[in-house]
Order: sequence, then structure tokens, then C-alpha cells
Amino acid sequence: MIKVLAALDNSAAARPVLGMAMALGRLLGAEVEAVNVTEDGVGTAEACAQRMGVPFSIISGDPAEQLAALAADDDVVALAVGARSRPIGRRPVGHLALTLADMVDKPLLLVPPDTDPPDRLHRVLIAMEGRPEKARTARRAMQLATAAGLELVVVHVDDETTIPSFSDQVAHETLAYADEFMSRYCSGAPEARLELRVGVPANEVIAIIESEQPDMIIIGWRQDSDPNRGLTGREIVNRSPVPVLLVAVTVESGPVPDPVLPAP
Amino acid sequence: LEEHIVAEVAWASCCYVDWTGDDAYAHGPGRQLLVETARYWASRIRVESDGTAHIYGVIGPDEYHEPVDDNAFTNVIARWNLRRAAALIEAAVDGTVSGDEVRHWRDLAGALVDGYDPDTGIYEEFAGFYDLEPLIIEEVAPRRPIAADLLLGRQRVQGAQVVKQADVLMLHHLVPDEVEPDSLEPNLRYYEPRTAHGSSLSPAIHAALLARARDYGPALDALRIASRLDLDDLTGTTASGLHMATMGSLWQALVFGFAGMRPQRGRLLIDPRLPPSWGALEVRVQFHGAHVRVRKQRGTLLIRADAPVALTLDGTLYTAGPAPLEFRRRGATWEVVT
Repeated sequence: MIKVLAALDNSAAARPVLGMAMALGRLLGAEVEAVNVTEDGVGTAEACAQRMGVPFSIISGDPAEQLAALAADDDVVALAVGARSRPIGRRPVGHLALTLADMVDKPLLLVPPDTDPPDRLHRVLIAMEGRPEKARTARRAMQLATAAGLELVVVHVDDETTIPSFSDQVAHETLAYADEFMSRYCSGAPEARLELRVGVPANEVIAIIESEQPDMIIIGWRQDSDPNRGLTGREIVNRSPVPVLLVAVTVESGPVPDPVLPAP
Repeated sequence: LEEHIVAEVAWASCCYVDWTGDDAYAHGPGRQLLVETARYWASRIRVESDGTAHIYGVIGPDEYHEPVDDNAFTNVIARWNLRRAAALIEAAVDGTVSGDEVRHWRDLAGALVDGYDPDTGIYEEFAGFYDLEPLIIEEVAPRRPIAADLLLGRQRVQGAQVVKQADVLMLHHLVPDEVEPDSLEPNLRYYEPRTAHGSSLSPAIHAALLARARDYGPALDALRIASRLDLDDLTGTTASGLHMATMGSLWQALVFGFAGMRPQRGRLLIDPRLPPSWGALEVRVQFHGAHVRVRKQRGTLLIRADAPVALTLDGTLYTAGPAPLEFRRRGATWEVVT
């Protein structure tokens, strides 16, 4: 049986993290298990797991290393953690979450502490920055989301490096480009809707999150220790008001091969 | 509106006549088309109290600026339209157009302002272009071609000296006999760096003009972009249809630009340009019903046709036929070998 691992600390983030893990588990057809590795007590985390009927365990050691080790198990398909501990601590995203983002090659769900988790996910945004080649990052996620009947909104933002060379007839080209884009990169998601934007990618993605109010956003995550790379992803993670599912992208060879997400 | 298209339809009609020699068309539908387009311009042009004639409120080929007054391209090609129609009527009076009307066309053509400055050799793209923000897109864009309206925003582009595609320079491409002699290079030097090439039609036209100016490196760069547009899906929209106009402009770049071939006063003008990296350029066309083959190699030029064809080369008249007509370069001129 595949499972989603919910890493609960003893904070206000525990319930949203577990709730989102359960919603993701329903989407993936996975069980949910909760685990606590922090050293700040277990009362809130354990009570939360009990209340929601989820198996709970406590392990000790370095939180990032322990969680990464657990996530590496073949039966773990995703890991959910709190983006930060307290709702008022809006930015930036917590150290543990960022550390795991660079260590774990399974999908990592970062959940803001003020999230109100839905029972089921209904609307999901997939952000694709830059050239269409990067759209492959989330192809599996798209197929999965479509199979699960989600409303899928694909966001593609061109910045000044990827802006189109030509704009002959904008009205025609926008539709043609959107059709072609969806045919190439979202073939598993015939009902997905494409939002094309031009501008600063993080700003545009956050603007669409605020207007579309999705339950979750999926982005590719460049696992690169160079702080000057993957800046857009980091900014989205820091600013997103909704949970962010990171899909790992290797630095040299593109997306991590399957299994990124299990087959629908 | 992009009213210049009125004159371009007339140009295309005349282009057909000039290449084919189709007299039946020229004096039938072609004549009617030329007369009615000239009448359109006559109705559209406004003559001010100082005697100058103007066309207000148009969109030129540079679609980043609209509407504008006295777009040089629109005015000059309208002038060409009026003069070409006048010449046609004067050559074959048939009573359908009065002499007064023809004289009016010629008067309007002569009075139309065109923004040309003899001191600089440059045409102002439209009235007020020089007053816009002096933004040289070659310097500020991360690359070209680029859709500058998406990069900078529609409003910023509208207020700046950023050109979408050949506008003034389109005159040098379509009606080179209607612009001032030797004005290609100054206008190319001024406008090309200000052109974003944000239209898929722009690269090939610039390839043609750069070839005419013997600026071969940029000419080949531009030609390469045009030739790869759909092969490399540079627009990301090729699946919805090929860019046929770009393909047409590519042919024009090779024939008008590199081969330097165009009809002129009933003869085929040939003035080829061969980039140093090319071993040869061979073009096959039909001119007045004859199949003409022109092959340019380093230092030599070979022309043959399956029927007699009147040619102009270096200002000298020749007649090509089935026997090869071979020329060798001697200094700045072509010297006939056979």
C-alpha cells in the first residue's frame, strides 16, 4: 500500500498539514501516516492525528535527515510538512521545509499554517515557468489530476528571456499557442485550462493564485544548492497563500524520472 | 486602418503584369484595379493651404504606432499608386478616365509629403517619430527578434522609436524606384537597430535589404531565421498553420534581394549579391513566359532562357536566350564572355 507521510510538529501547522496530506492521499489512493520528529513536545501533533484517525509515530534525530530517510521508502509517494509554524510568521518558509525540498525527490507538499484543508482537492494550479520544455516537469501530475477529476489550471509565464519572438496577430496566436502548448505538454489533461501571462513569473503566479483560489499549486523544484538558481520557485514557496506541491527537478538531467507520482 | 494595403494590392497586380507581360489582364481587371485604387487615394489625401498633401490617421506596416499622420510608407506607396495609374491611362487613353483626373493624380502625388530629409538621407517614419522616446531596441532587448509590445508593454512601445517590422525600409524593398537614390543604406543604418522584428515577415525583408547593401553577415542571420521559422517552430504555433507569408518573403529575399532580380520598364533587371560564404546562387523564374535561369558564382554570371528575354545588367541591355549568356566580373562591372 502506498502512503503519504505527514510530518507534524507541535504547532498550529499540525492540523492543516495532516488535513492536506489526507486530501492528497485521497487523490493518490494512498494511506496517510503521521510522524513527529521535532523536539518541542508531541501533544498537539499526537492529538491531531488521533482526532483524525491517522496512525502516529514518534522518531528522534535530526528532523530533516529522519524525514528524508522515511520519504525514501518505496511505498511513500509524497511527504507533507508545514511551510512554517505559525500563521503570523508569514515569510519566509521554514528552514526544515526548504531543507527537505532540496533533499527529497518525492513530491513534497508545503502547507501554510492558516490553510483550511478541503476534504477533497477540487482545483489545482500547475505553474510552468519559462520555456515549454519545462512543462514536462509536471506532466505526470497533470495526468494524475485529470484522472482524479480535478479542475486543472495550467499557468505559463513568459519572462523577458522566454518572451515570444513574434506577435503577428495576437488574438489568433494566443489561441494557437495555447492549443499547441496543451497538445504538447498537457496531452493527458484535455480539460485543463491554460493561463498565459507575460511578466515576472513569481508575481504572475501569485496573482493567479489569488484570483483562482486553488486548493493547491504544483511547481517544479530545482534541487540546487546555488542560491541564485530556482529563485522563482523559492519566491512562490515563500509567498503562496495556498499549499505548494514541489516536484523535484534535477539540475542537469531535467525532471526526476518516474515514479514522481504513482500512476492514476 | 492599414490603408497601405490598398496600394499593396495594386502593387501585387502590377507585379503580376510586370513579370508575366499579361496585356489582357493589364488592360482589363488590372487597369480597373489600378484606376480605382488611385481614386481611393485621391479621395483620401488632404491638401493643406500651403499646397502640401497629407494622409492623416493611418497605421503603417509598423503596427506598434497607431494611428499616425503621414506615414512615409503609406504616402510613398500611395504616390507610386497614383503615378502608376496615371502612366497607364496616359499610355492608353480610352475615355474612361479624364485627362483632368489624371492630372489631379499627378498633382497629388507631387504634393504628398514623404518625410525625407536630404541632409541625412533618412525618411521619418511618420510625422513626430523623431519626437518619441529614443529607445534603440537592439540595445535594450535581450535578443531579437522579439515581440517588443510584450516585452515593454503596448503603451511604452507606442511612445518610443521602436519599430515592429520594415516600414520605411519596405519602400526600398517594394518600390525602390520611388525612393531617393542611395537612401537604402542610411535608412537601413537608422531603422534596423530600432526594429524589433516582432513580425514573422520582418527577418526575410531585412535579409533582402541587407543583401542589397552587401551587409552579408546580418543578411544571412536574418535569412536563417526566416527559413527556419516553421521548421524549428519558432512561434510555437506551427501546428495551427504554416506561415505562408513568411515563405513568400523568403522567396522575395532570395530573388529580389540576393539575386537582385526585378522587372524594370519591360526588362528583367539583374544585379546579384553573393555572400562570401556561398559558392553559388541559382534562381529560376519565369519572365514574360520565358523560363529564365540565373546562376551567380564567384566572379561569373550565367544566364539562359528558353525564349528571348530582355535584360538589364549594369545599365546595359542584353537579350538572353537558349544559348548561355556568360559574364565575368571586371572591376565594378560585368563583361560579357559569350
